[in-house]
Amino acid sequence: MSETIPVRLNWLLILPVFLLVLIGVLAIWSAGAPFTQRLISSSAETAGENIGSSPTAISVAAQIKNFLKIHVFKQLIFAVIGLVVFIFLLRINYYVIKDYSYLIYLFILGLLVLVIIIGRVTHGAQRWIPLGPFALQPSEFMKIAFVMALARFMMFKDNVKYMAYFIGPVLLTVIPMGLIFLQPNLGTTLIFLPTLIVMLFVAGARVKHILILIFTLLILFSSGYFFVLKEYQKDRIKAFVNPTRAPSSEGFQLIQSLVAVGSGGFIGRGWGSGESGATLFVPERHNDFVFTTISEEWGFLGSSFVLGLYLLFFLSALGSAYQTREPFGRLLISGLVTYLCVQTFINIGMTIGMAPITGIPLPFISYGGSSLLSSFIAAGLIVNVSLKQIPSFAQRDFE
Amino acid sequence: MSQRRIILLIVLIIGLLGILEVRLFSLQMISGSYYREQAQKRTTRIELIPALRGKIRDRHGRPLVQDTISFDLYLVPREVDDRVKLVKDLSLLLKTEPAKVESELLTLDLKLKTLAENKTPSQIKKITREHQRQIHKIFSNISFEVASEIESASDRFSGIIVKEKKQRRYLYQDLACHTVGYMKQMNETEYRDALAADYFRKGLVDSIDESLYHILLERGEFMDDQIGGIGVEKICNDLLNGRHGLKLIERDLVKKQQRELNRIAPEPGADIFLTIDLTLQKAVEDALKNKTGSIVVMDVNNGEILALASHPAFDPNKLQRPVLQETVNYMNDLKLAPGLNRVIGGAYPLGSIFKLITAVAALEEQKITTATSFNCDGYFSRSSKYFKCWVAEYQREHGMMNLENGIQHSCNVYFFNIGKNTGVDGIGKWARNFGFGQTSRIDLIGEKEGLVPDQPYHLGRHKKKWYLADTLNLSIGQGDLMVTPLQVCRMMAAVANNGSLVRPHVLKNQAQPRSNQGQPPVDNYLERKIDLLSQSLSAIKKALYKVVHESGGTAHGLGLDDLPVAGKTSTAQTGSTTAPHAWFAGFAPYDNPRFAFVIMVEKGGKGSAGAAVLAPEIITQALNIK
Repeated sequence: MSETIPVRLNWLLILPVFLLVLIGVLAIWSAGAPFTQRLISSSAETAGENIGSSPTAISVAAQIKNFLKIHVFKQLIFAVIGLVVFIFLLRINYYVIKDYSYLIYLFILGLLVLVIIIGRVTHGAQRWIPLGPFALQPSEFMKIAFVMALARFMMFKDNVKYMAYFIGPVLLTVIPMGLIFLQPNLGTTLIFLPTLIVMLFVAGARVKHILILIFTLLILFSSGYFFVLKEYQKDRIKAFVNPTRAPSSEGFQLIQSLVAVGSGGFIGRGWGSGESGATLFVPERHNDFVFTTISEEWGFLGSSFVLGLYLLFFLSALGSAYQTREPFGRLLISGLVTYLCVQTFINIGMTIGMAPITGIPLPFISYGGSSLLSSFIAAGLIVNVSLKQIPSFAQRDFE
Repeated sequence: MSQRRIILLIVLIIGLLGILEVRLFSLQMISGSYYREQAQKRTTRIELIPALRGKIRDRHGRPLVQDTISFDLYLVPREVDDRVKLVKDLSLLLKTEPAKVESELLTLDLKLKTLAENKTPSQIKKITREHQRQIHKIFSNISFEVASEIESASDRFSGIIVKEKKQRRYLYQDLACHTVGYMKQMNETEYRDALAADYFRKGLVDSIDESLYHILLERGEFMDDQIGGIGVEKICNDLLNGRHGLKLIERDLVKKQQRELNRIAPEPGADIFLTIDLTLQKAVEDALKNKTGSIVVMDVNNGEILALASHPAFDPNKLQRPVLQETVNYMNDLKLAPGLNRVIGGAYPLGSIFKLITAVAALEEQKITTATSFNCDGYFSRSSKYFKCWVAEYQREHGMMNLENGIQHSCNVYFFNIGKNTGVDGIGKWARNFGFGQTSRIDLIGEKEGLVPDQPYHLGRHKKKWYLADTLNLSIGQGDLMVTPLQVCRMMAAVANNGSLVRPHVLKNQAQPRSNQGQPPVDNYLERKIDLLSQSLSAIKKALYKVVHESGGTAHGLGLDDLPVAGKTSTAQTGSTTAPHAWFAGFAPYDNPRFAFVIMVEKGGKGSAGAAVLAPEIITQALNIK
C-alpha cells in the first residue's frame, strides 16, 4: 500500500460515473412523480366518478408518494455507500487486490451456492440474500470477481497460448454462469461469454482459437435453448424476435416501451412528465426499464447524452488499458468495460427493440443496491488501474 | 500486439453504442411524431375482476346467500359512431323496441340539458365535454349472452361499455337475517382502518404487483367496497372474501376498439356452513310472522343453533345500494328495532321459567327434598295480599304442593316458600351456574349479559336493603332479573343434558382444533359441567313433562300432547298497564333430549296462549332433523 496517493485523477473517467448516477436518481424520482398526478385525472376521466377529490383519495396519494420516495431515498443511500467503497478502492494498490482474485472468486461463488440454498423466493427467482432492510444479489458481484479471476489467470500470456489451456478460463466462466442460470437469471448469464471472449482476445490468444471456441459455445448454447430454457425465457426471446405476435405480456411490454421512447421526440416531454402510459404497466419502471423514462422525458438529446457519457467512460477506461503496460490491469479494465458495455447495450437495446427483454440493470442508473454498488466497484477498480500510470510506480511488463 | 487489440475493442464499443444511437435517432427523430400520436390515442387501463364472495349455506349445504353476476350497459357519448345504427343494433340484441333504446339515449340528452341550464356558454361547453366523455348507465341487468355479444363485437357497438356487477343475493329475503347478516358500504373510518390493516392488499391475488395495487388504491377502486355488517357476513368477512383478479385493457381512441392484453384470474371466497336447518328456520320464521319476539332452537349436546329468529326482521337485499329512504326509516325505527337480534341482544324479565332455577337451588342447597310440600291457599301469607298465587285471581287454591306439581301448576306459593328458605344468595349462585347474568360466548356479535340481581347490586340500584319481598319476587323470576332468550335456551339444554352448559354457535365445524395424536377432536363447545346432585334434574324434567302432558299443566291441551316434549310456560309481568311477555321453553324428545327451544313473544299475553301455541309446528319440524 502506497502512501503517495497520486493527485492526478482521471476526471474523464470519474465525471461520467457521477453524472450517470445523478441522472439515475432523477429518473427514479420522476418514475414515481407522474404516477400520482396521472392517475387522479385518468380515474376522473374514465370512471366518470368524482372520487379523485375525496379526502381519502388524497391521503392515499400521500401514502403512494411516500412509497415512491423510498426508492429515491434508498438509491441515494446506495450511492453514498458506493461512493465510500469507490474512494476506498482508490486508496489500495489494485496490484495487492490481484493476489486475492481467486479467493474473492471462490467467496462469491460460495454466496451464489448459498443463494440457491437459502435465497428467498422473489418473482419466482432466487437471487437475493436478505441483509436487514436490504438484500444482497451475489450475481452482481460475481461479474467483477470472475473478471478478476480471469485477469489473474490470463495475465501470463503463456496461459492462453494453446487451445487446451482455454479449459481454465472457460471453467472460471461456466461455473458461475451455471449457478446464476439456476436461480434462474437468464439476463445476467448473457454477459459472461462476451466478457470471456474479449478478455481472451486482449490477453493475446490466437484468433483462430477464439473462433473455434465461439463456434463450439454457439452449438452448445443453441441446443441448450431447446432443452434447458424455461417457457417464459423462450417467450422473452420470441417476443424479441416478433413483438407484435408474442402471446405473453413481454411483447406488450416492448411495444409500450417503443411508444414511450419514440414519443420522447427530440427534446423530450420534460422531466417528470412521462405520460405515454406505457411505463405505467411496466413494473420495472424505475428499474430495468429506467431508460424508457429517461428517453421519453429527455428525448433524443437526453438519451444521446447518456449514451455519450457511457462512451466517454468506456473509451477513457480503455485508454488507460491501452497505456498501462501491466497485463493484469489491462485485462481487468478490458473485462470490466466489456461487461458494463454489454449490460448497457442489452438494457438500452431491450427498451428500443434491439435486444431480448431480460432482467439486466443499466449500470450506474437503474434502481438497485447490488447493481449500483458493483458498478461503483468496477469503476473504482478501473480508476485505480488508471492511476498507476504515474511514473513513480514501477512498471512491470510480462509481455 | 495487445495494444492493437485494445484499439479493436474500442472500435467495437463505438460500433455497439453507435448502433443504439442510430436506432434512437430513427425512433425519436424520424418516427417521433408517429409514436407521440400513438401514445396519445391509446389508453391502457387496469380493471379489477371482482372475486365472488363465498356462499353461506345451511347445515345441509343448501345455499342461503350467494353472489350473482349481472351486467350493466354504459354509454360513452363521445365514442358513438352512428347513433341510428347503434339504436337499431342494440334494440335487436336486447329484443326491445328501438323507441325504448332511443328514449334511454334521449334521457341522457335531457340530463345534459338540465345540467346546462342557466350556464354561461363557456360553462356549457365544459359541461358538454365532460358529459361526452363520461360513462352513463343505460341498461341494467342484461343477460350474460347479450353482454358477451357486445364485448365480442366492440366495433359494432362502439361507445357501449359492458360492466360486470356483482351482487349479494339473500335467497330467502329476511330469513335468518340476524344470523346471516348483511353487507354494507364501508364508511370513512372503516375504510381508513382497512387501509391501515392492509385489508385491500389481502383481497388481491398474490401475483398482482405492488405498484398495480397502488394504482388501484389511488383510483379509489376499493372505496365502494362492502363489508359484512352483522352476523356471519361480519364475523366471517375475511373468509368469505375472495381475492380479486385484474385485467389490462387497451383502448384505441381512434379506432374505438378495445382488447384485453392480460388477465389475472380472481379466486372466489370460501363457503361458510351454518348450523341452521333451512326447513326448521322457515317454520320458526312462519311462527313469528307479524309478531315481535324471538325463537331459538339449539342442539342440547353440542350447542349448534338449529334455528334462530328475531322479529321484526329485515331483508338484507334491500340494504344493498341503492338503499331506499323507506328502508332506512324502517331500520332506524327504535320501536321496531328490526336490526336488533332479540335472541341474544334482547334482555327481558323471565317470570315462571325461572322457577326451575329456584327449584334447583333449593334442592342443591339442601333446603328441601323433592318430597317437601307446602300448602297453597292462594296467598303466601295471610298478612300480605300482595304475594299471591296466580290461582287466587280465579278464587281458587292449589292445596298441598311438592316439587313436581309445584312446577306443573307453576304454583307461586310453593316457590315463595322454597325461595324464602334458599335465600337470594343461593338462588343467585345457581342462576349464574346455569349461565344467567353472563354471555354465552355465541359466535355472533351483540350479545347481552342480562342481570341476576344480588344484594350489593340492589343496594346500589335502589339504595335499599334487600328484603324478603325481593327474594320472593326473584324466586318466581320477577323483579330486576333480566335474561336473553338464548340464556333460557341454554339453561333448558343444561337441564335436558343433565348439567352440561354448552356454548351456542351458528358456524358449523369452525375453530374445532383437532389434536394431532389421533384422538377425537376436543369438544370446545362444552363451556362447563355443572356440579349437580343426581336427583334434582330428573325430578324437574319429570315435572316439565307433566306441564305439557297432564291436565292442570300450564301447557296442556295446546296441541303438544302427542309430541315427546317437556317444557315450561312463563308470563312475565312488564308493568301494570302493558301486556306481559309470553314465554315457552323446553326440550324434546323427553327420553333422549336432542334439542332445546325457547319461544318468546313480546307483549304476547299468557305463556300458554301467547307462546306455547306456536310450539307444535316447530317441534314437529325439529324432530325431523337428522
